[in-house]
Amino acid sequence: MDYDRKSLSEVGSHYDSITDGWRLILGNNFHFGYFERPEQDLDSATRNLIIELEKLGPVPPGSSVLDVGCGIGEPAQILHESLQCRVTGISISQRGIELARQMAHRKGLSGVLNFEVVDILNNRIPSDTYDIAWVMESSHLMPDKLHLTRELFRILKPDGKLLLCDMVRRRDLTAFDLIQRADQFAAIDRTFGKAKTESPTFYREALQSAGFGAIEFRDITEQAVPTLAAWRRNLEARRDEVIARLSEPRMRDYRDSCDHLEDLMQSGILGYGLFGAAKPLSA
Amino acid sequence: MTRREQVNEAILAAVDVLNERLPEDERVARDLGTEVLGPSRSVDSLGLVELVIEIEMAIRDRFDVNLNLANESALLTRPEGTIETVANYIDGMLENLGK
Repeated sequence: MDYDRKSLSEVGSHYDSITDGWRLILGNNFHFGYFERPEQDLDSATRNLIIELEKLGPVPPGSSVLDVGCGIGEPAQILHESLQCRVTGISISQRGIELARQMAHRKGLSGVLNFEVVDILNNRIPSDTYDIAWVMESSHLMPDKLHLTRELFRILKPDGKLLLCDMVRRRDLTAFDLIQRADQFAAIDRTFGKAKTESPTFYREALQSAGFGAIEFRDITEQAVPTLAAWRRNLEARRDEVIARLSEPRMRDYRDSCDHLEDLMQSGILGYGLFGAAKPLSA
Repeated sequence: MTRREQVNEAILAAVDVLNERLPEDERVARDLGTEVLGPSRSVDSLGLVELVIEIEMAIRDRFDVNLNLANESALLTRPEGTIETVANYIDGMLENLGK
């Protein structure tokens, strides 16, 4: 899961090419779910994850939110509908932004939900602009997480909150793990884009070094793992449609990657975590 | 040339072969002190697999012996280790094989 800087633009292209096919498997939320029970349906579980992340803030009603890696705009819509937030969603996927804008236009929310193709690691967002920085499952695709946390700190207003969730590495991988599981990592990279997961300790130290305080972490691996079975069920149920959108090899890679991720999470190598942090008032 | 010097030479030759396939900014430093096993290793998972295969081939060419390094958990589960660590380990394996 190691990752190089130049592959960031490849991530955008990757997401452009898979967005339509992924909707058949993941639904409208391109992230894990928070399952209160394993048989819960995927849509309500992915919505739950948004609610669980929001609770770490909490997000004050009417907040201005920067959604970093906004997918096709569903979390932004939920934050607006539940808390009247004004959300700017950014992503490096043209196709994702196009679909998010269509959603906002269709629902008459273009005035409060704004979506732009912007790379958070290379942006012109003014400092002290947002109440909330919302980062759902996009940080693992960013090679320089120290730069990411510094940028998130910069764009937040004093007393602003960062809410982030992502896959985390629960233990260091030995060379033996890497070699024995090289095929797993290769399939996962092909499916989800080249990623670099980090430990909760790494995130905590990166947030501290950027200036954040009140850092919280919550391990929700157990509640996230059933997502993979739900994706597999959707994939099998819509197999022909998925193949038509993604191609048969990509469909197989996706199915295999669900198995691999499940194995890596159940083996204690990967996990899933929620992070909350605050920019001090005095900053 | 001593056995140990031949092992060093074989490993560095394997690094050269790997580097030919890698982009310039991802190449592995041709140095016995280069970290290859621990979390700060300078090669990704696929690169590590390729490096191990190349080392096995280089050792086979020089010593006429097939080592299966990919299954050597005593070496590969170490929390850290340089090219020199790998060379020491292989040297010990060859000694046990009477090479």
